Amino acid sequence: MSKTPKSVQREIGANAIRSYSSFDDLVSGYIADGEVKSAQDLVSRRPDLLTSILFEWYRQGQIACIFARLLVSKKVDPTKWKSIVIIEGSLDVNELETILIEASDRLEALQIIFPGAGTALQAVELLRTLCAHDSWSCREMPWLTDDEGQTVELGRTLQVGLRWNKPQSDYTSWALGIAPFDTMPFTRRFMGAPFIALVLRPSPPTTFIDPKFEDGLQASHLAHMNDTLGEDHATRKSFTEATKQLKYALLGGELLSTARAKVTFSLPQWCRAELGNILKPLE
Amino acid sequence: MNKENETSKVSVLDVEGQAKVRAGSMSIIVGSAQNLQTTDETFDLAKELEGCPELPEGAADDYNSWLG
Repeated sequence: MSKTPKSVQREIGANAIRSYSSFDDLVSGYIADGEVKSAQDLVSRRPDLLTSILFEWYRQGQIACIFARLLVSKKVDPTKWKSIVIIEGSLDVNELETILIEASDRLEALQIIFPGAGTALQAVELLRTLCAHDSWSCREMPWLTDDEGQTVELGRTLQVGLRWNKPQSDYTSWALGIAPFDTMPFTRRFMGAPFIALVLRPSPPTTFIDPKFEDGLQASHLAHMNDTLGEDHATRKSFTEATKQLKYALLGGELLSTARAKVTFSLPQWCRAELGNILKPLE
Repeated sequence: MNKENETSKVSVLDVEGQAKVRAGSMSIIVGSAQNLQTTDETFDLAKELEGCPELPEGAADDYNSWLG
């Protein structure tokens, strides 16, 4: 495959510009190789390529997380991080539940790609569909506060946390959203992607990071994944520090609140009315 | 894809490689990072951080708040 264009530019410092590929940039290679005729052709005829494209986007680093880049670059064990594309219009939340329950005993992470318009409205419709099942819920997340509970950031978007709670379990899985619409933070905003993706850890939390709780349930999220570094704590520490630094730099002037692990989607305010009472209010 | 025909009643998690399966009425394409088309780039942390500003004072301490 010829060299992939990187048309998304992000200025992170003096004379420091990071470049990443948009969806169309990544598709251009497949077009050049004759595998597809266009992005639309890819989605309709070769949706299997969406998985590779999203993993390549992680590998490039716009996601900021060094651990994600490491796992993808090492082609993480496919029995531990699976990706599924649910063909548009075929989502069945009861069947998805069966998959998630099975995955809770087997996978470190499950990535679910939902082809569609990639708009905030698609996110709303996805939330509505999923939250029609008892295992899913979504809640408004508050803006970032300091140690004394004072709000330190206040934006004009709606922060939504989507959760999957395995039946009869004591944990809740935090879903991370990747989407192209412009209220998403830069580190989760895959420009031009004709889909919305959710990545979550359906299995229980591990013990090597400090627990967080919501409604009495312990959070299970992607930071609980096995980073494959074993006892190499020095590298783990350096990757953690690097992730902090990169995330802060890449977000730039965007609000940190929108990019937290507890926030699945950062949505326009009009989505509040569209979500109605499926959105649990702020506590 | 390795398998172009849909496979019925196969657990999604048991699929190796890439394949299209049905789960009830859902049509699903299963894949993994194994399908990634890698380049010859090697991961270099120092290069990743080149030109990246240091965190502002106090920001690192707040990290757990703004990460999690």
